[in-house]
Amino acid sequence: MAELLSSDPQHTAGLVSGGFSEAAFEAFLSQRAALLGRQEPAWLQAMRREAWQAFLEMDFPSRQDEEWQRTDIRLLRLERFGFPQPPPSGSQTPPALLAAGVALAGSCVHLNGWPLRWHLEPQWQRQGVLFGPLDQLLLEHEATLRPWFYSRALQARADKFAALHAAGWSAGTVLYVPPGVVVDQPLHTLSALGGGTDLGHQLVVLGEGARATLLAETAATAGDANAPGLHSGAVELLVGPRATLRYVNLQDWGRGVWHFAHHKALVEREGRLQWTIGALGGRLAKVNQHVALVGEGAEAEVNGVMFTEGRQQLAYHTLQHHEKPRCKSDLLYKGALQDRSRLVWRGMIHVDPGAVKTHAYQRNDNLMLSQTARVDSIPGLEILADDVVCTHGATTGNVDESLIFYACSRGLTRREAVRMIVSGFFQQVFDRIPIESVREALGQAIGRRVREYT
Amino acid sequence: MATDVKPEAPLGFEEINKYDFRNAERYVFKSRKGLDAEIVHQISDMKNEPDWMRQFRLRALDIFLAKPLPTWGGEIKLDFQDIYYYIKPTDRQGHTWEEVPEEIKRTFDRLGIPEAEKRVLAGVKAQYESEVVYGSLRDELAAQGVLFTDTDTAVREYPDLVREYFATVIPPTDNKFAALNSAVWSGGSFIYVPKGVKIDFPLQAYFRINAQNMGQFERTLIIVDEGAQVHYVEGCTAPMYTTESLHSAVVEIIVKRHARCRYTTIQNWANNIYNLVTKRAVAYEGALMEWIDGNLGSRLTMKYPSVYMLEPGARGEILSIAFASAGQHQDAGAKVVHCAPDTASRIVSKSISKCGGRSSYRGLVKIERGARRCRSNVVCDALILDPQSRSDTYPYIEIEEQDVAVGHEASVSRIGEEQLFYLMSRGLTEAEASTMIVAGFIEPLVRELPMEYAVEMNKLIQLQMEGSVG
Repeated sequence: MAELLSSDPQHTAGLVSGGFSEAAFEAFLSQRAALLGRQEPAWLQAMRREAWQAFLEMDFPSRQDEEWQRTDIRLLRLERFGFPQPPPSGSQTPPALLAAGVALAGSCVHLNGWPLRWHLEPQWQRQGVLFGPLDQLLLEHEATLRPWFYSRALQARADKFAALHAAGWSAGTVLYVPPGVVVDQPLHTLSALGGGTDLGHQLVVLGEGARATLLAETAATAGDANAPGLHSGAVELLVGPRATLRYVNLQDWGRGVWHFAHHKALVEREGRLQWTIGALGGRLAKVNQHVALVGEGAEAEVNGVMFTEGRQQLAYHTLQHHEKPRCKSDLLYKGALQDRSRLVWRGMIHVDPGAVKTHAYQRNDNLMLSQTARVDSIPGLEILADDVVCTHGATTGNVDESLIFYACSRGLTRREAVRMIVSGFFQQVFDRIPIESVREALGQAIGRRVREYT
Repeated sequence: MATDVKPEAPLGFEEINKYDFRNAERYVFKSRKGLDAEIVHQISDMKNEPDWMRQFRLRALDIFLAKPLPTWGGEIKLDFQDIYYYIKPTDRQGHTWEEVPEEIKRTFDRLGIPEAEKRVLAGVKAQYESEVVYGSLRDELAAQGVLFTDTDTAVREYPDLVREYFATVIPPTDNKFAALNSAVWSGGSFIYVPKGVKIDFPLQAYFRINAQNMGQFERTLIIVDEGAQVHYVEGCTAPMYTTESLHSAVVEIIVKRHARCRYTTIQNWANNIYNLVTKRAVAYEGALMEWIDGNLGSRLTMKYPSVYMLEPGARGEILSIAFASAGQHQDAGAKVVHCAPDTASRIVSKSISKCGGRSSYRGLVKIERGARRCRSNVVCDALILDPQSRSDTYPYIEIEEQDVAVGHEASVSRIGEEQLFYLMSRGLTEAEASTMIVAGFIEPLVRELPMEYAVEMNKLIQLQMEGSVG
């Protein structure tokens, strides 16, 4: 197992903490060079500096902007955060929910935006699989990884947070599976935050005909469940021709974390992507999840499980982009809301001209568990081709009293009854997830959250 | 001088009344292009309005100038200073029959519209002589206490009633085009139906031409008092030709307790018009508001009829149909806002895109906090007839209450191969089969139309479908 000398006093001395100032950025770059043991290549430094300029130039998102209208970031003070700081030595990471009882092909753990430890089983190393912290592997395997990194999937200038990420990304996990290699055990990555900033970047590349499963999760470190934190992240998934990727992303940050992310997948000819998102944590989340079907016959299944409580505000914006003929996409997002929380799902199916024989579906169901919660459900279709079948549906309702009554009459307490009904509500999406540990982890996390229902 | 007022006969301000055919006086008035306080004063002077309306217009003008254009919806390429904001109806026929485009004339012929009516529809002639029908209907309604006149007249003759309701449903601050209309409005219908009075024939349908209420900035106000009932029909199925580029109406409807109102629109403006309209109704306890909204014409339509359900038991139903052909963008939809418990709404939207046209459904379902036991259901279906065309669906669902049942579904597809194959196997050509399928697709709208409109609507769909391959 590799370990990073994360808290060598020589390296941490002279750090500028707090704020995203010019000086903090320069200090961050030299700190990285020291920790990695060498300078990042010129192209990467140039990319960072260009994004940094964009970050400085770009305005904070405005509430007038349709994209940000439903995400209230007026209380966010960026200056209270700074570039990721190496965690103190001996830091503990929380248990990995998704990996419980699973034989893993590899794992990679990050803490406070810095890689902590990672490993990949030798049999996969021998077959040319790369897995570990992105910043290290990008230097060691530049020729293999550079063509994919920030290549087609992401834009550094999408918004101010995306620019900050592109300038200051650190850590994050990369998975590269060469053509034809089938990794039949899941890989796992955990990003934990005990307050502070995480600018993790995930890059997954599957060569032609490759197969893999990656379970990614975020969590709060013990005792830091409410510490203020900032995550500005990015995920790029590049699924090659006839490759199959299962990707699970469970967001379970502490309740003080502002979570901003751009996730994008490109699925090539006859590639398959199954993407499951769990949205449970954070103070506020604004996530853009974009699936582009860029080769004929590509298919994507997107699952979302969302549960909000307290004063959480989560906003997930999804896009199923059909660029080529004969592609299929199927999205199912289910959300339950408790207390004074707020949930936004805004989805779009976009079919390009000429993308005929498209089958696209999106569905969003919401369950209201309190009178003070608020949900916005905004499905959307933009269809520029004629020979297509595109459908969406959205429902919002509450727990049926008669069901509770029935369950109670069979000897369950009211709370048990509600928990059972809520888990039944999510069953439809759980049924689509073939990985047991993921179903278990999501089911238990939701079960724990359901409280008295009136 | 920016304004020409040329009295040809004894000047009578009543002349402005579009419905008052007994008045023979004529004059010509045309404001200059552009919009500023001076123009607003001129309009107010011409109409001899009370001061509160003048102040209202001036305030609305400030709001219009301050508000930005919407950043969503269709592309609006308009120079607001290159538009005439007030032209007297009698001066509207700026062109001759020869100038009316051939395709419009052809459509008139195909629809079988009488010669005299054609000229009015094409804007060549201002009025269509049907005073007898109009007069007798008005007497009948008047006997029941129904007030039905144009809004300009209402401001003068029923000032208290107008002032009580005017701009209460759609204030000038609502949006840029509502502000524009508030500043320069002219014409439109004013209807007051007293308590318990049920009008069993559609108003307006009988004198659709004469009414001339398809002005450029018409302002309609309908008050349906408790337990009363009315069906109002706006516009007509035949194409409306005008040389003006902007139509921006405001329609406000108040449906009081246990009253019912149905408002039917068939919009078929010529393809050079921007049709940017604000339509909203408020419904009180046990009331029913129905919008039936068909959009066939215009270059860009942005129109989202809405129902605000303010008291328990109120209901809103909206049926929206859009047909977008070459060069057209129909950004139509519906809004329902549930502000009280036990309210129910239903939206059905059907759209068809062909020959590069774009039709969009944009809608809102909002359940306010405290509006328990609400039900809302939305169904959107879209047909795309060729690869050049585009269809969008943008439904917004915002829910702040737990005890609700809200559903939305939408689908976009093209005409099914099996359906075509079946019909063609029964001896129809592909074009006939496609037309039949499209007619079936919009049948829910046609069924709700008064007879003569339904007949024309079907002919119109046939015309629209000509030359298109399913």
